[in-house]
Amino acid sequence: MSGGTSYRLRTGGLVGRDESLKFQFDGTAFEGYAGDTLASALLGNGVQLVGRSFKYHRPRGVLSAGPEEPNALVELRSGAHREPNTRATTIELFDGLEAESQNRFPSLSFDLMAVNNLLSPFLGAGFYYKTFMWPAAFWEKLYEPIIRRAAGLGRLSGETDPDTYDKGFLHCDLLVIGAGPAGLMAALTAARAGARVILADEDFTAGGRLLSENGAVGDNAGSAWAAEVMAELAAAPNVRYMPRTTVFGVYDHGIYGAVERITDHLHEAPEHLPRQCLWKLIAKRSILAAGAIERPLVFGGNDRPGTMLAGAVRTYVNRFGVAPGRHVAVFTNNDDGWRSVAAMLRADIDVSAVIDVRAEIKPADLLGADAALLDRTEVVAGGRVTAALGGTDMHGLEVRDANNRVRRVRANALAISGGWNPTMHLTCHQNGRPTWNDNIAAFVPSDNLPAGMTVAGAANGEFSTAAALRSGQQGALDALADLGFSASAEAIPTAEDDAGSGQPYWYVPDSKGPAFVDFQNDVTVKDIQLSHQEGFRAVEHLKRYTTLGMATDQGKTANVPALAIMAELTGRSIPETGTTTYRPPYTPIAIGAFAGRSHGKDFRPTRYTPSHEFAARRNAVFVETGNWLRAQWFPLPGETHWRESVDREVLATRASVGVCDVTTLGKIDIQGPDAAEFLDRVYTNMFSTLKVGRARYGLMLREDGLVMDDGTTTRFGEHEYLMTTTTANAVGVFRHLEYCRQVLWPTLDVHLISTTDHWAQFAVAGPNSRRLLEQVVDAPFDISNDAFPYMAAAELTVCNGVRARLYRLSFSGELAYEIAVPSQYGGALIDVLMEAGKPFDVVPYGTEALGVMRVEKGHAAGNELNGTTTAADLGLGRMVSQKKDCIGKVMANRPGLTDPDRPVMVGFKPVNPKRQLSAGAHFIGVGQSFDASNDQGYLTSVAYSPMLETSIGLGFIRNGVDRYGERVVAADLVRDNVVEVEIVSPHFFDPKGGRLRG
Amino acid sequence: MAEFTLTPAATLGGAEQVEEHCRAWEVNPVAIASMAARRGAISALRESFSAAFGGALPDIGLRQEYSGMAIASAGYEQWFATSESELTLAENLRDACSGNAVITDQSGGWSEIRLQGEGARETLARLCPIDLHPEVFIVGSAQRTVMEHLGVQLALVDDRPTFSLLTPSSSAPSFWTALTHAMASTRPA
Repeated sequence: MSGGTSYRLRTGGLVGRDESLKFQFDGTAFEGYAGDTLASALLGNGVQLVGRSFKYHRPRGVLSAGPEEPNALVELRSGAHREPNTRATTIELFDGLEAESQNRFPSLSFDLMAVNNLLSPFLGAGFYYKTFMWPAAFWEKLYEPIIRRAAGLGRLSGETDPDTYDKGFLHCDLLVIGAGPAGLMAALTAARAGARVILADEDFTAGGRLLSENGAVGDNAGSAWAAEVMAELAAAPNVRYMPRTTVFGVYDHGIYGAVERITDHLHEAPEHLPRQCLWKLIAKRSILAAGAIERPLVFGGNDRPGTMLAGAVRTYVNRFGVAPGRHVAVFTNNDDGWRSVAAMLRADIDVSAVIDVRAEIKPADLLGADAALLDRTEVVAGGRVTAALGGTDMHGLEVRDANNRVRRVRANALAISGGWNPTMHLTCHQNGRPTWNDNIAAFVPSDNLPAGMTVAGAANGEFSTAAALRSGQQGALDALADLGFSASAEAIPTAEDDAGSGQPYWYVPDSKGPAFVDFQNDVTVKDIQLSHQEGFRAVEHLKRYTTLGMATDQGKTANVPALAIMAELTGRSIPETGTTTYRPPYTPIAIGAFAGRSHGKDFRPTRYTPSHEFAARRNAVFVETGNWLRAQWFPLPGETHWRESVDREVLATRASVGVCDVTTLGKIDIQGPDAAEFLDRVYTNMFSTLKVGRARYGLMLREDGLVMDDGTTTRFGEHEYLMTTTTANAVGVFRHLEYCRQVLWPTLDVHLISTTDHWAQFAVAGPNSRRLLEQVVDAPFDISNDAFPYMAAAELTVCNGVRARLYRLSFSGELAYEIAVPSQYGGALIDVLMEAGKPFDVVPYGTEALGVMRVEKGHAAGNELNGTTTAADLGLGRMVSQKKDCIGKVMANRPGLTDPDRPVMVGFKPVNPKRQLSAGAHFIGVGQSFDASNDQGYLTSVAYSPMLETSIGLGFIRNGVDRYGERVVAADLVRDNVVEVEIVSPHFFDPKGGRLRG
Repeated sequence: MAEFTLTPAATLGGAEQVEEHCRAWEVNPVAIASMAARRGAISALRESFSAAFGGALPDIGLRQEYSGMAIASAGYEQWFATSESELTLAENLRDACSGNAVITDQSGGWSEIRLQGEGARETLARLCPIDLHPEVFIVGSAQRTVMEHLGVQLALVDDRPTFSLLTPSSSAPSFWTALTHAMASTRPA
């Protein structure tokens, strides 16, 4: 790295010279000032070499003073906090900042990979495609790793991002994007009219170019006017000023994406503050006042450290009090470049020469009030720079004058200006295409703007300060009138009103050495010529063939010069050549900002059952079921394998009694005079005939005739039912029912509401379940088999008066109940059930034991209700009532769904009871080869049955019911598990159901 | 007679979080009930409600308080009522409006969280897509919305300001985490 010579001017600038900040770059300690960027602080310390280029590892310096920076990319912070590819030109300096250069080895000043630069004649556009075609096998193992090592930008930390992020929503009447002269004037106008204003600015200080220019606004310096306006806006309750905030995208309905960097400028942020916040800004109107980006001129060695955009030079001189170098030349094709000449001369910086491509210029006029300083520099009118000489720093320039004489110019820095491009990216995010404006030789926003947006100031191609102020005010007045605010045009302060002129000039044809168009992707004029020569002439082809305009800067400085060069090669105009598509985000956004708070266990909400704390106390192992966290099993001390716990829970439940939290089943309250009719239409079977106080199993089809869901529905009154759904389908079924109610049958008087979270519900199963519940249910309610038989249901009270619902339902096949209380009592009820069950050695059981018992009983569940099965497939064909219609009934009769050869659900058990089945295995005839033509069906659910002491399964196989006793092979080739099985009834345990009716 | 008794527990254990700029707490106990007008019975329902509670049913987007009960619009001809004092709220509504409405007890199914203080709006801006500017979402406003992927029934109770947030109880701990995170995140530096 070069350095050691301070380029900080003795006076001037807007930095806080009384507040010194210490920072490190590549391990070397430096000092800067409050108000510096990392780039200005490095330049202030004489550091011009800050990075290496992407492909050729060429030494690079600071090109710009803003978000367009292609060169000065650094890794910021260290360890897991490291962020690659941050632009030194936008990083606000803070005490303790640590940054490292990137893409170099072993050091920035001596980079071995710079050998690529020597090989550059062979590494042009399309190099990869042509060179690494063969042998194909080498690509993954050899070529790609080498290319990845040699090319690239910064390094990811490889660790989890330790920073926190937030997100949020803000609303306003007017969103002003950019706090330069146009944005400030717009915000001020709208604020005074009483509109709700958000003023979002990328920079940490408001003012935009006013902080960089010498010109006055009113009677004061532009920066002072900006400060005055900001003071008024800060005091206005209807204005929200958002510094350090990039509006990166425009979306539908007036929604803008913005990222606010809340603590990036702090060395140690308060723990409670997020690093960044991603905002959805919802604005009725917006004014884009994003300014403009200067274009570089393209000539040999134009990437040499010390080369800097002329407008950026003014920023460093006037805002940061830093000279770009000791001896600075200026190369321009327009009047604006001369403002940098004036700024440097005023600051007593040596301007060694001004090379203007225009022969007919009047330097004294161009310097205006500073004309007297003209004798301090030399003007080369009609000249051009053909080469910037040097290595890791600039040694001088080779210049050709108007007469083509070659000469050397002393310079260790060069300000270049090729004109300005309006920063109109956001205007194109909804398919807007810019139009070409010959007067300024630049694309400007077209009329096809995002709804509600207007563009003001330089972003609209209005480059003078006065024009920016006028258009900012007018844009605000128009928006205010649209929104019904009364506002009038107040006097605008005086300001320079000369946008100047220029001569389109894109590259120096007789350059020496590589002339870079896209600095970040190392794309040269020669690459564009090659692209043209090989037929990649359309602008999108040019981009992809050369990589021009890609990576973190997205060609902000490169796109238009590249288009101009391609236009010249093809003999077309620039607008005919076109422009690439601008898409969000405008600048790179950390992925963490998009995630916001949604990471780790907070990625999605978690639903907890009422017995969660009880289960946690019992060391339950939990499983995620949708968003629910359910107890899977409850290990006891000494149990070392999940099967020990699950087997014990099953055996204890079947031997005495067990309790399982089944709150997660969807519960839908269905009320109204037409509730019964409604249920008859959505279920395959009849519910209008269900008696009050009884429950019935119900099966629901999708419109296409396949099974949607199942569950029990209970009638609690003439017009009142409670439907249960499977846990997984609770939301989907509710949505389906609402669709039926509102759209299909709007005349039915029926009302639905979810009560899933209202009722804490527990299955109490096992031969002693009644005896347990008798201690809980309040007298005089009788739950004897006669008074409360299988499938009975009642509203009653428990534990001395708590409202409850009791159902005689059984998923386990045991004598069983489900008891429900309002969920605030759920935590207490599980404790009571455990206490009351002590004499019966009650156990809590989890979803795994629940699953084992349902497989033992041959109940279909989610694995079988998998969206491909019919009622008949599940052995439930008789549940489709022939006395009525229902959703899905017609489509269920399609030939494909009634084919007798469809696989049907049956049971399977291994011929050798010690063998373990695996779900997902496919059935193949014994002795047949394992290929798809022999596939007869598949195994959906598998469990180890402690009752039968063998692995058992449910699955689907052709003509299964007629094949009991036949043997097939269950082949799971993925897990390499091939087991001979016998086809059996799915009702493995207590097939007659005597236990559940006991 | 059963020998056991059940003690109700608040979903969040009666949680409270106090920050410099706002305070959040779980309302406990609170009775909650939903009500929907029977088809074609809206006029009769309005009359029976007014006769029983001395005021009109709130229109869409609004919330009203009547003698210990708050009732907020929850959709087309649908309402959610809450009460900290009348724990038999669902029965009370049934008694008053039976025949004209269907009523479902939702107590314990939703957790009511209150957020109060000058930083409440800034906190909710991190969670809530609705415009809560005091001139837009005025006292007595009520809306159903989604925050943190969760359904929320939001209302502005008073101009301190105090917001009422009803969120499903099973996921209330996640909502509370998000809310308190947002409160901390917006704490003045």
